[in-house]
Amino acid sequence: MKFQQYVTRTVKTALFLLVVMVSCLVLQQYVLRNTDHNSLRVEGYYQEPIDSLDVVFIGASDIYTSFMPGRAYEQQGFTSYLLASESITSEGVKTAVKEIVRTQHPGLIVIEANAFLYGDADNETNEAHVHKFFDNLPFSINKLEYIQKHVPVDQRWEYLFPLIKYHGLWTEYPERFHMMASNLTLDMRGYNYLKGFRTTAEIYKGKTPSLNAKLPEEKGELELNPKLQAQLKNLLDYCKEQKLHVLFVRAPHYVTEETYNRVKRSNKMASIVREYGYNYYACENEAVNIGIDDKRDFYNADHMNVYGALKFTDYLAEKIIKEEELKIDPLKAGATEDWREVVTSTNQLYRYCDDLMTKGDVKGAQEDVLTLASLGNYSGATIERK
Amino acid sequence: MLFNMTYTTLNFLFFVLATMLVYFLFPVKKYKWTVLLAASVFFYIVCGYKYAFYILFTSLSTYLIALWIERVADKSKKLLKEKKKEWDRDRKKNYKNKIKVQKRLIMTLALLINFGILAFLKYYNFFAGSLNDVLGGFGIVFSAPTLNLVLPLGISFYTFQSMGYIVDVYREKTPAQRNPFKLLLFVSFFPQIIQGPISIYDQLAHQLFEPHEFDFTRMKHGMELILWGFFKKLVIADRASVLISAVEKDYAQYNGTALTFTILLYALQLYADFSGGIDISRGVAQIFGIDMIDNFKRPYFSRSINEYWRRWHISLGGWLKNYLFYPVAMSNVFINAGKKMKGTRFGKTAAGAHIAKVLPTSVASLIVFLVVGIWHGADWKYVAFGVWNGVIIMLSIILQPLFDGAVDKLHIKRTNPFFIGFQIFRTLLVILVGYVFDVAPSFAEGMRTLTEFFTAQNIPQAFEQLSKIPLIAHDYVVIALGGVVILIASLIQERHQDTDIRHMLDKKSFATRFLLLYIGVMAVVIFGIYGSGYNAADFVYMQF
Repeated sequence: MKFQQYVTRTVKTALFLLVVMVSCLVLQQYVLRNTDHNSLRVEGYYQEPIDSLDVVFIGASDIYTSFMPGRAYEQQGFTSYLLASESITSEGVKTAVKEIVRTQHPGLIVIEANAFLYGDADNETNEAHVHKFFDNLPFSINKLEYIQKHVPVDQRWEYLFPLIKYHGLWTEYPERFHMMASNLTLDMRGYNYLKGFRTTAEIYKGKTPSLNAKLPEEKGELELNPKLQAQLKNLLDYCKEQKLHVLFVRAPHYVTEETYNRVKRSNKMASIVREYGYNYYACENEAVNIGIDDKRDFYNADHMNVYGALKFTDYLAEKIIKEEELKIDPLKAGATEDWREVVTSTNQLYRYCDDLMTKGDVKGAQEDVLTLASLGNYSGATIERK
Repeated sequence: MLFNMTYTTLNFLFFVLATMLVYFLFPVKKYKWTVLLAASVFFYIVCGYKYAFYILFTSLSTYLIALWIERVADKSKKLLKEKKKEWDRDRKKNYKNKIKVQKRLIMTLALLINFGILAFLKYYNFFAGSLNDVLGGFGIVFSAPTLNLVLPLGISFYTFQSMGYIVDVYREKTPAQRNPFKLLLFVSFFPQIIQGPISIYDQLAHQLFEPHEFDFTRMKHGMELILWGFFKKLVIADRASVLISAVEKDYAQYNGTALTFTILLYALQLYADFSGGIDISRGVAQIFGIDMIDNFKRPYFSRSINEYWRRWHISLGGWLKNYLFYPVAMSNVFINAGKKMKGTRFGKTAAGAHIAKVLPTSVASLIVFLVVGIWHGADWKYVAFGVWNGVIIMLSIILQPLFDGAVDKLHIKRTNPFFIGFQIFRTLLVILVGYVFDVAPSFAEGMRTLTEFFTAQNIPQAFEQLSKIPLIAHDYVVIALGGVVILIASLIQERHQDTDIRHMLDKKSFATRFLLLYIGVMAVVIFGIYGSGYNAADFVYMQF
């Protein structure tokens, strides 16, 4: 065969393989991807400029529905991001800490306690919860380490190439177009407006009365699940080893008899964490003192709505500055501009949710094109607490 | 199983890629075949290391017995040469017969041992259960114990292939392999171990041992065949099998219409699954420069059930023809029976003479199809499936003059497209009736289905019943479109009998080839059923 023919054939084959690979990557990234607020949040974290964050929050929905980074910046001047995912596992929390060490060097890492407070360790192997976080992490040694240690051999490819798992999503179009558009616009814009915050516009009317008023007096402790306790200690060892400034928090909940044991486990966790020399803010126990109104500030028993989130954010942000003595890195001019946009969007989102709740409409509000398109009608001015 | 290494997994594809690299870069040409052997052994160990003993035993016994047969033959030939002048004709004939019996005994030993293992592992529980039922029917309390037996990977395929080799050595069609490792490669060659095709030693072995160089065109064709196999298996068969498995599970719940639809879909699923798997096997082998026998030749275009079995699972049909049909049909018992019938009064009539002539063939066919039925599985429904096909073939052979006469009398041209269409449709109906026994959980349920085809047709009820199966409208559209693609490809192949579609594709422009292959790859990637799957229910917004 002539050399020229050989070259032509090689180029044609390479071109075909390249087009197929690019097509698969595009499908995997935008079209056949389980895009939801979790993926937009986790992906948004990696778009943050290196060393641009003063605080990074880790946890489950308990934190991304409670803390508003835009509000914290407006009130206290520190930048933050919620590297959180729905029902994140304890392994997910540790991987998130490692990812923060790899990608950012924030002055403080805040870990919400939820992942360690379950009565059993079932959440650790809940496929959906594991996928929701790990699918959205980019390739890194930390992700590979998790896969190697915890994923069954026959499922490993799915974590490396999520298209294997999600290619069947084509049946869910056109309903998923808006999530695809959200993903695409986030990538084009290059940063997340709400920095991971997500909420539902609804006021929870609990059938059983909340026990929140009783919690400041609650000092009882209940053992953690042994597996989760081991994971917690493992995490604390890692944080010590890396000399990280870490703060543990427990966000307020609408506590009832049914969920009361979690409060006791939280107390136990606080003891363990303090043994390692770290602070643990049991804000769940202090909900009433923070001013959380259990008739108005929750959208369900596990999550606060924007009214509660605003109060909690103000409370926690102030404590972070005063008690954790966070040193804020000055931002560059461009970054300051971006953060003003974050503040505006957060305030607009608050008013949007307020409007919906006043009208009695129930709606999720997050970093997607539908929510963002609705915010334009609302003012971005500072929110005055009611 | 250490890893999931089925042909449609990424594990398998990477395994093939690694084997390919080692094979083509292997420096010693003479020993390139050892790479294939190592890969085959690795594949078998990974897939079912617990049962590797069985394949090793079959390979070793086949190797030793083939050498034994050949040694007896060589020794006898040598002696006959030495005694050429000493021995008279009768003595030579007697000696030859003695040797023939001796060789046959040795061959029978191999067949008994290896088919014995297969029969025991695959059919013991079936026979024990049937025996208990029969004796129970006569009021005899007897309970043959059932055993927890697991079938070693590919046992039917490698046993048939090895025993074909033994018979070929016995018939002196092929010399016995002197290298046990080469024989092990022939028995265990990884692309064919799971589902065939059942290769003939003469056709496959020399290709395995030849040192093949990398050939771009061959690799491209191999990849194209693998892609086609993936399309048939992952896009169509595995999707359709969701419905078929669901129906099989609650068979009694479905009415005649739902079962009719299921049987039709089963015909497509079975073809797509089996031929798709074979295409992957052949494609992988082709990359290594090895051409394996094509196991399917558009079987649903057959104009008779006889033709269908020449186009469906060709390697099994060929094996049974060579090693079972001919020995039975040509045996003295059958030939004498035919001759005897010819001598009777009935045999003197035209019909009688015809029946006497075709009797050995038709009875041998019935026996062959009984074996085909049993080969498919250990259940009476498979026996019924085999008997049904055997009886139809037997009748078609016996009644052939009647059909021919009717066609002539009606002045129907055999090339008339409507007549051909009628023949294809008629054959398809016969095949579908056979499939009823494949899908039905038991022989009795199969019979019920056949009755309900005529008595329990209710379309709205069938819609309601089938709507509970976890397939959505999108899936039916994909199956239908996939079926159309197979139909178009089959029509093209029928029209250009000797031309491979891949060769036709080679003649197209780069843009056309690029587009078609791109569509093929993306269709498999998007519409294929693979991976653990996304269950929307698991991912719903649980806490909100």
